[in-house]
Amino acid sequence: MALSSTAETELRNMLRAFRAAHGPTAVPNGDGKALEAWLLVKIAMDARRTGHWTAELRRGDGSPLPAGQPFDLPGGPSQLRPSNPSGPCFVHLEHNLHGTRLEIHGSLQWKGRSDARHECDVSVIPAQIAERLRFNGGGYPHGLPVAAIECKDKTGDGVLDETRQTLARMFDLALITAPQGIGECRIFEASTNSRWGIRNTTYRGLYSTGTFAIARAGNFQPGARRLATHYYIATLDSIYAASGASVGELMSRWRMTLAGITTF
Amino acid sequence: MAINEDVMTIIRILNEEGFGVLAGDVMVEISQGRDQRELDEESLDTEKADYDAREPIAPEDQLSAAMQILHRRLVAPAKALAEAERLLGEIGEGNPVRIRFVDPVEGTDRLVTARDDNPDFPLGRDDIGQSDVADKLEKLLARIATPRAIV
Repeated sequence: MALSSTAETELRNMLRAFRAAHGPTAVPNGDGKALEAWLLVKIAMDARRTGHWTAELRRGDGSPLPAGQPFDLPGGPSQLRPSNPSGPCFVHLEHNLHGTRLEIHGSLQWKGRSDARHECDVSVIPAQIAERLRFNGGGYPHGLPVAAIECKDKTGDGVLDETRQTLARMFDLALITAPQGIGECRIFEASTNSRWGIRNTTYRGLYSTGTFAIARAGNFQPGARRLATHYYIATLDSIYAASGASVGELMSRWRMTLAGITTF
Repeated sequence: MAINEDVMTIIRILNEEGFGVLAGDVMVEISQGRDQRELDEESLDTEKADYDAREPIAPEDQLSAAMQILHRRLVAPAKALAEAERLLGEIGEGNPVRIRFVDPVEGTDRLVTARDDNPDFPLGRDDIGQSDVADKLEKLLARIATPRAIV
């Protein structure tokens, strides 16, 4: 048996059309860029739908994205670039009552206690930290994001080692001890020593505040799920499933994070 | 378990059309099979949760499994991206907003850069917020997964 020549030809033509329509960043290579963009926008939209947060599309200099302009996301790992209108875009959130401001970024690299850089596919950073970086020549935020989502555009089962990688990243980012010369905080930026949030003395205590997740097109092996669950990392399997169960779980955690943001 | 002829044809086509990574993933995933266990919260704590329990995919099920992989890796992300463009329009209280992936330093569109690097690279994105190409691919994958596509 073999596929019909008609089916073969159709498939070739469709794959060419698909590549033309979506280019190298949408052709599967494990980067999960489309998934990253989708979840970034979904959590922005969900914050807006609570009725408590105002969401706004911003350019790389922090100014509103003009109508008709594209929303540019980094095609690879990136520091927070110096203020520049042509730099990568982000979503700015502002609470309507207490005025807390957050930014949602794609592919932002954070620095850990080791000084190693860790890319978070989707991450949420306090706006005051992002602005200090943006207007002081750019750089890397230090600490544990308010939210961080790892996007795995893979259909195979997520293995234990993959979850270990995510956890190792979070381990390095967690400011369990006060950074030297900075003082106790959850997040800081080094150029002006600006701090945000409070320190937690335990890893699990810190991870329990915030939204942390691994989103996969496929499933997770049981051991991977067990490790993630212990450290409050959501394992979002079959993220594209029509049921929307995993997206719903992410939004549930995200709303709890937003509701408790003044206690961070 | 050996990969059947139909799936090998799909893998060859993927590779020849510039989807080499996906071709490799299809081969690995069909060869390794799937973990069919449905473990509840209690059984997650048992010893059996730790071992690799993937089972081979039967030859007659391999083509539909391969089509499912292509759907999750091509169709679903493309539709999700289109939805994101529509949602950005809602946030901006206007029309859907084009999402571009740019070089983080240079700010250049990677889709356009691919064209610059290779003049033969085709370029023809769907309208903003639309996923016409993905919709057509979805229908084709469904047809291939049925026996009618095989002669």
